[in-house]
Amino acid sequence: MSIIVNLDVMLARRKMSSLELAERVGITQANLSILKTGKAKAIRFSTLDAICRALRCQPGDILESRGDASPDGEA
Amino acid sequence: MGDRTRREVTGLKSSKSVLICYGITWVVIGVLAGLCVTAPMLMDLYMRWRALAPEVCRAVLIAFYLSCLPAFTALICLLRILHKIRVQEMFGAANRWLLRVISWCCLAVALICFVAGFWYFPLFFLTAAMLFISLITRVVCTCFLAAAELQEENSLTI
Repeated sequence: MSIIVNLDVMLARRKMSSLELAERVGITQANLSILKTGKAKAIRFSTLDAICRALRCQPGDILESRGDASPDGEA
Repeated sequence: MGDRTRREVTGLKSSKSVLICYGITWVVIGVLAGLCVTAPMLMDLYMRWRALAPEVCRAVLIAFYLSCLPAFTALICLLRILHKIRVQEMFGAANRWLLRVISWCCLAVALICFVAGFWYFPLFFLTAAMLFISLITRVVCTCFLAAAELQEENSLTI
């Protein structure tokens, strides 16, 4: 999976704990941990929206693509 | 929908369905056990009614008793599958294995009926039916595998 979820940086900037973020977003800490550790296979837009509202950021601030693919998808 | 969420209503319906299946499976086990005891008497009545040769009756009785072992195995597997469904473990490896066992049991009965069919022709139709059920069970097992993959992907969707 080449999409990285950088929650730790935003959590540190907003001085928020994982527990607080999980409560604000409405997901369990286990699910938040799955997101942070890169084990998630997909994220719902509603969850992404809730995270961005809680952290007062844009999706690009927490999502990063580290694939080797070129923009048109070829390796 | 009132206070109940859609999931709770669906859960209640499936729980009721599982209980009905439990009941029916136990009834079938009871009927089969009863047939095991009364088979010789029933076969005797049938033999007189249809004027069948004694070797035909013997072959049918032997086929019936040989089929009882895979039949009881399949029914017990069904009960275990229903129990797993009750505890919300629907598409796991255990259920897939139990379905494979049921498939093999149906195949075994088909084989027994095929051999006995040479003495009593209508058993060939039962052979075809059991082969069909065996195939369906195998396909359902494959569906469970696909469902397990979907479930895993869904569980990792936040």
